[in-house]
Amino acid sequence: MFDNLPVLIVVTLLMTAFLAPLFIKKFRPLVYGVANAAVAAAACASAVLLRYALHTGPLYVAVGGWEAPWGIEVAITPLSSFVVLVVTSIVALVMVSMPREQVDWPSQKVGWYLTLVLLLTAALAGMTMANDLFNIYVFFEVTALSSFGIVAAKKERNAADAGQGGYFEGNVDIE
Amino acid sequence: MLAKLLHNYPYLIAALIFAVGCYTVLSHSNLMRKVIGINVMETAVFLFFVAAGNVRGGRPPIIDLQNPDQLYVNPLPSALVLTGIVVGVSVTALALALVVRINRQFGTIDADEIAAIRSRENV
Repeated sequence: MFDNLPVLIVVTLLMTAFLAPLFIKKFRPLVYGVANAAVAAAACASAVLLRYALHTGPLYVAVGGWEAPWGIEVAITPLSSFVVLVVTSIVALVMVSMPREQVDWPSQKVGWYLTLVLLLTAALAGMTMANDLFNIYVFFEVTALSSFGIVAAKKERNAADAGQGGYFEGNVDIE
Repeated sequence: MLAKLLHNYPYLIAALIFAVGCYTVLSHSNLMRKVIGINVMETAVFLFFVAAGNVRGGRPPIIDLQNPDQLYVNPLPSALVLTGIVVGVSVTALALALVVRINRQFGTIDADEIAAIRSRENV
């Protein structure tokens, strides 16, 4: 019944992330609203999945009908859906207070910043639900890259330097 | 011992390339050279993975249905490395963008000079 829900969480966040910088110049409040709605929907979906996993048992979805050794498998256990719920609800709280912090930012920068935040959320959710090393690796890289971007986003000298430091130290242990 | 080491020469070469990259990252203070060093290290890791998946005398892993009982190369490390190369390119792009921003903010891309500027500012 909820077979497509785990994938939809990640896909919705990714699509919103890539659409945000396209429409931010003309519809800035609307884009904030849509991003808020996407994160809130992800939180609701993970709450539904948590309830399902607690009552009915864990859910294993083979994406695209390819079984585990060949295809991508998503695992919804009580623990993984709980972690996704925690991540998405924290991001939802962050999104609520975000417009007040960014009042004096130019629109284009806000768009790319929203992209980074939504990518980070999608990658964290995907990394938690993925059930194979390959996807964990890919989502881990996306998490790392977007968090370096968020660190370096502020227009300060120290922010750029901190991003660079995080890049070099983080990258060595990824390799 | 030496014969075994020479027999597994791809691993030896991967370790050497990794050491060269590591030395580049640690010994130069120019950020561009550090980025190049990280790329060299990446290449070493890719070589290591491909070498680990190789089977001597194995065929490319495309199964021939007429006679399937043949020795094939392990395709999994190659697939991982393919993704790794793509990720490596995007990581390099991010690093270069950060270097551009640092150059704009500090007027230099030398890590030692940046550290000096920051320590003067924070006093």
